[in-house]
Amino acid sequence: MSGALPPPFEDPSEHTSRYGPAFWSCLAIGGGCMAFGLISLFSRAAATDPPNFAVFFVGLALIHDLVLAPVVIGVAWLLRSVTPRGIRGVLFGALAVSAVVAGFSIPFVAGWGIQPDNPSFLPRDYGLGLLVVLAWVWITAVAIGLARVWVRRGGRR
Amino acid sequence: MSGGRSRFERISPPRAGPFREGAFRSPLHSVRAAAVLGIALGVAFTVCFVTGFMSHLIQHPPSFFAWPARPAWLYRVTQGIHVSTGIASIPLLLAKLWTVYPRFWTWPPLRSVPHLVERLALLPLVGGSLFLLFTGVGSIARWFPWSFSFPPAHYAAAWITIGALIVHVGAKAGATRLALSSRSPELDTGPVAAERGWGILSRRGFLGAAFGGAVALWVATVGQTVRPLASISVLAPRDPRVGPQGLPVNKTASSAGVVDAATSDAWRLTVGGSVATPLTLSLGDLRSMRLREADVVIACVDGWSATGRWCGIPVRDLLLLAGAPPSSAVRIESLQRPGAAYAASELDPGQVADPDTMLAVALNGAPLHIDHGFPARLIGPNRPGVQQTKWVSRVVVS
Repeated sequence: MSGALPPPFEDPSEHTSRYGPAFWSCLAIGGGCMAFGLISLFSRAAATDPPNFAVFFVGLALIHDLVLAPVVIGVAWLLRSVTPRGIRGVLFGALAVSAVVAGFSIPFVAGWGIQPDNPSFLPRDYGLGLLVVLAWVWITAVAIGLARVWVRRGGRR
Repeated sequence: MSGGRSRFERISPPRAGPFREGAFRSPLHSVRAAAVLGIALGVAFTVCFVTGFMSHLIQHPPSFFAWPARPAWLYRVTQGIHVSTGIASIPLLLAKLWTVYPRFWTWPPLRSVPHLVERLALLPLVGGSLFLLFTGVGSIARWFPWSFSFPPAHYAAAWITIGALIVHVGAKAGATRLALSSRSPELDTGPVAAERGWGILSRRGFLGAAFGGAVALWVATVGQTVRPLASISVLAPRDPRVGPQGLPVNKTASSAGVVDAATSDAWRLTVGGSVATPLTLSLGDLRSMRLREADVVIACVDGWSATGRWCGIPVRDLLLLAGAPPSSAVRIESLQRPGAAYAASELDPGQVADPDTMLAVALNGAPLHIDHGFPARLIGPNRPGVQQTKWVSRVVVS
């Protein structure tokens, strides 16, 4: 079977979803919570600005599904094409964690919210902080990679 | 589902792009990985919802709700957990969305009316989850690329998201249980595919990266409330050791527009309302009173907290001086423009009765810095920082 395609994705949970009393009960409770959230949203429309709220609420989901996820697929495809099989897993794991940490730190590194009269807010060098976290991520990745090599060689003896 | 195919399933599938049969072959889209991440996220979002709702109740208490002054550390813990759990959820949410991504393109898009309902609930679940984490991070970074007010919008989104999560749990509880209990290989294609060289990460490696990312972000930020970790939390927006008099500041006197009024010799503290003897006190009068010293935590809604040694006059002593019963409720008003955000706060009788609830005039052995509320500020145990009113000018007893 070497080189044969693995089975395409099929989610067995599609066939195990149960729409019995538990589902309808959760729908009633969850629907009530969602309705309360919408009432909160529209009852304070001057503060919550529902159109702008909707832009972010829907826009973030669309950005994820139509931009971020395809980009990750592309990077993964590229990585799979150009890297040796033995280090792919560790490399991709470290890259993914690095990307998430870097994405999280953007507003801090850029200092978009900085308050010039308040030095106690964003008091650190966040660019350096990001490098420190990334260094730990990659040190961990290298350690895992070396451990795998060591285990594999040990298994051959 | 028994018998022939439903009306939905008779729709011809498109043959192109992600709709193509077999378009997604990564082993990471396994049901078991989705189940593990789903449970972790379900716990994390429930924790965030409960702690966030608690913070909302404290700041907007309904008539039946009273927030106690003790234990003094409680709000520090709940709000620290709220923010740090939200931050740690980011890698878990992205991993979960990656795992179930092929379902976005599933065909037929609808199998039945309940399936339609389940799928419709995914928009508020996915959109709400991303909204909560994005706006939460923006808020602690003081970066507001939106025009809505953060607290009420975050609150409304939390209810919408938790509702969608409950619907999702109702639809997927059985599948999750099956995924975690059954050894069926069709629920766990990861290792098989990885073995054949098609996968980049095994399921275990993928989950390790997701949870490792959560730990990395948690450690990198939680030191803003867990002081022993402050030196290694290199991405925390606050350092509990840094600020005037060794304590962080949220709002400065200049941004509140109170510098002139707070530093004027004409400043007086008035105690009025339902009192026998209205008081007008200068800063010298306050300092000459029997003052109390206590270690009290400032715990911000942004998730940071820090302990200071405060010195001031207990509010209950002030009430006794004015001839008001110490079981009164009290409103504390600031020099800030009336109606400005957090320009006033309320103390219920239980909080007034606590000896550590005081109008502080000194911090860590020195007169209050103006950004900490000079000439006098409210400080009390187990209160959100936004309710520790600074630059106090009036105490109104009700």
